[in-house]
Amino acid sequence: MNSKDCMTEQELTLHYYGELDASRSRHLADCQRCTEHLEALTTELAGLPKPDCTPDALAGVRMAARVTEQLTNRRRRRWLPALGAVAVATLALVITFSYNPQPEPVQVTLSSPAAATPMSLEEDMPDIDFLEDIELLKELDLLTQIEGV
Amino acid sequence: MPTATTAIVDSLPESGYSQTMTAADEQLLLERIRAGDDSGFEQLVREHTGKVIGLAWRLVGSKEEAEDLAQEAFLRLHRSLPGFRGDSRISTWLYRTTTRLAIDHLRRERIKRRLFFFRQDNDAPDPVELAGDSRLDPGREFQSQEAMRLLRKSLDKLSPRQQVIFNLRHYEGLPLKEIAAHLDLETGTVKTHLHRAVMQLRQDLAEYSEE
Repeated sequence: MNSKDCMTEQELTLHYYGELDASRSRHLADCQRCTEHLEALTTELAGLPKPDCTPDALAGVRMAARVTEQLTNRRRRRWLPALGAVAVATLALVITFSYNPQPEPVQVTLSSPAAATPMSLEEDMPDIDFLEDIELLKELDLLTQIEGV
Repeated sequence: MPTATTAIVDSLPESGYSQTMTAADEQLLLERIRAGDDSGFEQLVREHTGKVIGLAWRLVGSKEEAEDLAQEAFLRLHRSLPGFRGDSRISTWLYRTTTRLAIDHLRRERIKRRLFFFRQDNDAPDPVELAGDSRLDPGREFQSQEAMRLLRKSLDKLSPRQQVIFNLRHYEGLPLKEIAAHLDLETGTVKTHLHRAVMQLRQDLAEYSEE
């Protein structure tokens, strides 16, 4: 067979992988040289080790958990800015409406018992702390007795 | 109406990516997922994990990196599901995405090695991958591991695209037309890449055998 018709290395490779046109592959039937080249190629390629790349049986379960976790994290990250804004707004509202300044102490003046009416008594009624002052109560009694004379 | 390309891509060979779920079951599952059923997506992941990790592992040579790539492929699938028309099977989509992610990964690793002078330790490949055949005696197991190491060393010399094309044709048995469709290349380009990969491998292995 004329060597000009011989197959190129690429054609031999494609033939090995079954990717060469049948019409071109027919050359091998009549060419010892190309047949020998193909045999050498076949020996080398067929002899390549085949790595075992089979994952274990639980790989699917682990991957599902892993992907689910990633999706959950991504959802959380999307909501974080909005949550942050809501938290800040809530805090501001709480601070605003819970502000309650201390009342000033009330000056208590005693009015005449005779003029006291129940209503005015309530208005003039001193703070409960004042009423607990026993000494002052005693003075009030004394005052009443003096005015009754 | 599926195009000629999708028709070819959907007909995966026996040695390729087969699955137990029928097309009709898959459509029902997709509808469940679109309706917000997260357990449906988990089922999808479990169904396809073995094949996706296996493919990625073969393409990049590392189980851990393969799992990272598989995770990324599934996350991208989740993002794509709302617009997934169903012209092709999920397996086809995942196969294509995983292949492209593998090429990107190999490119990044190559750039890292060049920029930072990180030299991949070709003397310490993935120990799980090189676990070898436990049925072999220690001597033969060592030879098996050594052959794997040399193969890995030689594959790493190829360009990322050549590596992937060689792996897809030689180990996955994918026809060149389908490889071209997955990688958006002309079939002639894929043939050239395959030829160059084979030439490089043969040359390297001949040198190793002389040493």
